[in-house]
Amino acid sequence: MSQPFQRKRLILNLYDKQSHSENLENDAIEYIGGKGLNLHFLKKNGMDKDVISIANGPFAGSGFPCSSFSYVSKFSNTLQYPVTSGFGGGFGLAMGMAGLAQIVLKGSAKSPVSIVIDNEEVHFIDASSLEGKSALSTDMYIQEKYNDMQIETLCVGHPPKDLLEHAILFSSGTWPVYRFGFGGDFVEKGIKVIGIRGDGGTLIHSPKAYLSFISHLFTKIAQDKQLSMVNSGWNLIKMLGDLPSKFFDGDREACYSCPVGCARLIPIEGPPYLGRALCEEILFLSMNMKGKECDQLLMEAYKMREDSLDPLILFTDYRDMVEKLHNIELEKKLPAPLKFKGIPFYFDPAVMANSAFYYNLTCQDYDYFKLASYSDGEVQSLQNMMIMKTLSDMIGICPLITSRVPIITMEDLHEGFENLYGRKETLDKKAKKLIDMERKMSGFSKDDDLLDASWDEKLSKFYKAMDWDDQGTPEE
Amino acid sequence: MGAERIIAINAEKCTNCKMCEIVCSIYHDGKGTLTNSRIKVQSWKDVAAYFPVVCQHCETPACEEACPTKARKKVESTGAMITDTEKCVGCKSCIYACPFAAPSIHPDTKKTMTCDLCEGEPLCVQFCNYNAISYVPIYEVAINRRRSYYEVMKKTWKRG
Repeated sequence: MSQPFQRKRLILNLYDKQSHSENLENDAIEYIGGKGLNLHFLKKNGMDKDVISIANGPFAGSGFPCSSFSYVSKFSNTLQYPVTSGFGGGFGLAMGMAGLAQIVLKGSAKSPVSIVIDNEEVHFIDASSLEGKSALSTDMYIQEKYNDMQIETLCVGHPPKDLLEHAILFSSGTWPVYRFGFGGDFVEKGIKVIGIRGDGGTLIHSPKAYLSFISHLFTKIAQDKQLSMVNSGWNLIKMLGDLPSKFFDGDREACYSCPVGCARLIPIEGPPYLGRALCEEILFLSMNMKGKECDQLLMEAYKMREDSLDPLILFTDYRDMVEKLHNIELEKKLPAPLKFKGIPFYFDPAVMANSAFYYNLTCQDYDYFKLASYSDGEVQSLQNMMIMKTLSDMIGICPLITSRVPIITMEDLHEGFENLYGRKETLDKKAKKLIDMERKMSGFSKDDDLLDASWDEKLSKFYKAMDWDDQGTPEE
Repeated sequence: MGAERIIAINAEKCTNCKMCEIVCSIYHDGKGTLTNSRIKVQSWKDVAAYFPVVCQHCETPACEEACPTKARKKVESTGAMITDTEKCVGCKSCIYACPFAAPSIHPDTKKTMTCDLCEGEPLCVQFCNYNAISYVPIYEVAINRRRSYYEVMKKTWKRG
C-alpha cells in the first residue's frame, strides 16, 4: 500500500556552517522515525551532548491523520539522559518534501544564524537582524525573503498573541514544541530559525487504495466515542486559554490547523472526565524523565512562574481546574507524593504506572485506558499503553489521537504499514525495543519508579511483563 | 454544457491544514506533497486568514480564450475545465488570464494544471474536515453564502 518514504539524514555543522546528507542506515530504519530515529542516532554517537536531532515519521506528508508530527531530542546536560519533545504543524511535512527523515544539528554557531534548507541546498544566513522578532514575524520574514509561502519554519521567539505562553520553540510560528526548553538549546547553538522547503514528496504506491484507507481512519476517529475524553481535556485547555482562541471559534475547534480537530468531533456530555488533563501531563513527561528530577524541574518551573519569569510548564492550574469543575479533592483520591508550598504535585513518572492507576481510578465508567481489545488487567493495559505511545512517537502521529484512545489500533497501523515494516508483532517488538533502549540510556530503575504503595505488587508483574529484571532494568 | 455542481469555498472555515492539497497531489500524481496540488491555500498567518484557491470552471472561461494553443477545454461529463497536455506549451497565459490565478505549473511537466473535479467526486471536498470546501449545486452557492453571512449577523446583532 505504501513504502518507507524518506531515507535521508541531513547533518548541519553550525560551527563551520557546513552540511552534508547521508542515507539512513538499515539499523536506523529499524527504529522507524520520530523519537526512534533520534534516540538511535544519539546512542550511536555516544550520546553526544552537542547534538540536537529532529526527525519526522515515515507518514509525514502522506495525509495519514495527524502524521506530520515531528520529534526533537537531545542528551540533556541538566538531567544527564536523553529528552524528547514532539510538535505538530507543517515542519515534518516540509522535511518530507525536502526528502529528509532527520536533521541533525551539531556544534554552535559563532554568531546568530538562520538556516534555510531548499531541497538539497542549505543556506546559512546571518540572523542578527532577526533578534527580538517574534516567532510569527520570523516565520513570515523567511517566507517573504524567499518568496515562498510553503517554507515551514522552526524558530525561537515569543509566541504570537493567543498562543501558549509557556513554550519557547515554535514551528511555523504557531505550533509550539512543548517543554524541556528546546528553545534554550536553539539559543545556545546560535540558531534563530530553520526554514525548510522541498519539491519532492511522499510516494504512495496505490494512491486510490491509500486514500480510501485514510478516509476510513478519519471516519473512525470521528465516530470514536472515547474521544470525548480527549475533548474534556480540550475544554480545560480552552478554559485556561492555552490554545489560540481564534481557532476555537465556530466549528473549527482544532489545535491550530490540525486536519482532524478531535476537539470538535464529539460533544462532551456528562461526567466524570476527572483529571484527564493532569494525567496528560504525566503521560507526556513520564516517558522521558525520572520521577525525582521531574519533580525538581517542575518545582523550579513553578517558582519561576511565581516570579513572573517565563516558565516552561503550567501544571497545577489543571489540577485546580479539575477540582473546581468536579467539586472533588484529588488529594483524598490519590495522595500526592510531593508537595511544594503546600501544593501537591502528582508527578510519579519514570513509568506510567501511576497514571494508569489514576485513570483506572477516575475513568472506570468509560473503560478508558483499558485498551479493550488488548487488556487483561492493569499491568497489561499499562504495557499496551506504553507500546502504543512509543509507536506513535516513532511513527510521528499526534499522541492525542493515538496514545489514549484505541482509534488507530494495531490492526490499522498494520494495514497502513503493509509491506513496509512487517507484521503487527514486529511493530510491537520495535516499540518494545525503543522503550528498553530509552530506559537503558536514561538509567531508569526501580528507584525512579515512584509509585503509590498499591502498585508494589503490580510493579513486579509489570517488570516481568516487560522482560525487565526485578530492579526494572531491561536486558541489553 | 456548464457544470451542474461546483466547488464552493467557505474561507472562514479553512484552518490551513493542507489536507486538500495533499490528497489532491496523491490522487493525481501518487505523491504526498503540496507542489503537485491543483488546489492551493493562500494564507495570511498574521490574521489567521486562509483561502483555498481552485479553478471555478467558469461559464465563460478567460483561460480558454487566452490560451494560444486551445489547450484549455471543458469536460462534458463533469463540466471541469482542464488542460490538454498534448496541446499545452506551458506559456502560462491561462494563469495571467484567470481572475483567481487558479492554474499552476506542474513541477514535472512544466505545463499548467487545474482541478479536474476528480471525475466528479472531488477528494478535497471529501477530506476537508471543516467543510471549508463543498461541492454543491450551482444555485446553492448563493443561498449558502447568504445564510452564512446572516448567521454571522445573527450572532452579532443585539436587540436594543
